[in-house]
Amino acid sequence: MTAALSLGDQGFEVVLVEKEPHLGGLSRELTHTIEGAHIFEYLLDAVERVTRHDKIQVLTESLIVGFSGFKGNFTTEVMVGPGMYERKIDHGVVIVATGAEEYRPTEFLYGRDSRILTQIEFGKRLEEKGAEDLHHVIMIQCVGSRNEDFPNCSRICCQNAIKNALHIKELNPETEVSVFYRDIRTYGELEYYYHQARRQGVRFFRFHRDEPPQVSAQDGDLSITFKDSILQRDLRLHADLLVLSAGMRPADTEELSSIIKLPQNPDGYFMEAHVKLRPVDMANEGIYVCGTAHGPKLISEAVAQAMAASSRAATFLSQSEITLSVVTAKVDQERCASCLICVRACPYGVPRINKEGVSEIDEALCRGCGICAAECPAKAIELSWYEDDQVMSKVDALLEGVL
Amino acid sequence: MRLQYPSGIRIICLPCTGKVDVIHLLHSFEKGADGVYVVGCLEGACQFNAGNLRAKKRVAQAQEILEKIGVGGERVQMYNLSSSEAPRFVEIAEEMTGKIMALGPNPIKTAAKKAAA
Repeated sequence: MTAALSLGDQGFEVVLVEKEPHLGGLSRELTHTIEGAHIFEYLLDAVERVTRHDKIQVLTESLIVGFSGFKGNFTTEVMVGPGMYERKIDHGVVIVATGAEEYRPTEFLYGRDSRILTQIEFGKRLEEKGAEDLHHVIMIQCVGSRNEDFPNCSRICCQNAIKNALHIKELNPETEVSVFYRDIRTYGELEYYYHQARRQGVRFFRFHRDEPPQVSAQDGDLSITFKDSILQRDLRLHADLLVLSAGMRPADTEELSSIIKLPQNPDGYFMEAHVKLRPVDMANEGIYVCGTAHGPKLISEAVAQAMAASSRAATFLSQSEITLSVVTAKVDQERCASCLICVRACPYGVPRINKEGVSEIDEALCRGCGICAAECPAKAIELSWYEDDQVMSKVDALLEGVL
Repeated sequence: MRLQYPSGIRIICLPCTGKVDVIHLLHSFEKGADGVYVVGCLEGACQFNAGNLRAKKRVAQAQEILEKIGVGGERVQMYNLSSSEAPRFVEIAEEMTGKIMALGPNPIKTAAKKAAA
């Protein structure tokens, strides 16, 4: 929505395709930021501005079913709304902001006892019921993150836990809070909130990845047994609620990424073209990514990245002429045997068999990776700038005088 | 980062390791290179989908050919790293250099010198 508003305000036409009936994604589940800002109010304001904007069209309950073209000249097919009618939209750029979800834990008895919650569920619980009835709340960090299946840190859980811990103390200073952590990653100025939590008496217990705390919920008693890292002895704590800091998972975009051919990293987040030099561009020109679709981040970070993506999009759309890259593959039609290897090998489905029955590559669509050139058994395809002769003469030059 | 890496390394840039052809690898040995290594994106994170997996197969092919002709299959290797891992690039350069130093000079080079003498 931030990107849409930014571009709409600059006078560009925007179509916002949302698969759910309502805009907002994961932010609809959240209440406050750690600094105290009201997320829901901000969200309602953004939704209102987006739906009211005369340059922005919002299509809810809609899905992307087709995609073709190149930067400045894309055509996307969308199945719109509950009626599921098809629409073809011609547009210049794409901004991908498919978002993320909270991991549903399978560990620590989640789902088997109503007293075991995730941080998002707990945040809502505090809003609805407060903390008067709570004597002791225990939190466990790194649930579903930093393990064999998902080796990365989900970035936002430490500050989220401390946010909820401070909220508990605000509602009921008598409630005890214990946080079981592997590392406390309240980075930058968020460290201030960690100090505040310590001063207010929130307890922090460290555990090692291989020795997680054991949860037991028998006979109505919810307790956690763990080895204290300082005493080097097993301790057991009883709790009213156990809150799991469940990590972040990207939204399911397997179908979308196969339609638009977007590269993803092994965790399922979209990969930017270059971490430092092109942080919001995707490898395919004209496509930009922002928000948690790219990786776990705070709302403030997602908004900042959205502004960056819309900035990049606006820079591109403002040009009256575009220069296409010269690094494209070309088929020598006389040598082509129509074996279809290039058609199958191309990650983007660019080579086509033309009317003459030979392979043809549209210069505007070719991304310049050179895989077809290397696969072609007849050596009928050459990648400009990286032709075989050019590569071989580089080898010759670099090894001159060795033999 | 101004990290130092062994000076015997010569670099050729390509848009994707999927562009690396077996002939490029073999031609390097023909011209006297003692070792060749291909460095591509981490598996599962190829910028162009799966080009690095094709490169892996081609490197294996080149290894087979080089083994059969007596040059030695270990002289060509495939490595994977991400563009942000500069220290790993240095590590790979040092590892490969060490490996090739242990194997000695390219037999094609020694044969050519003998023939010239």
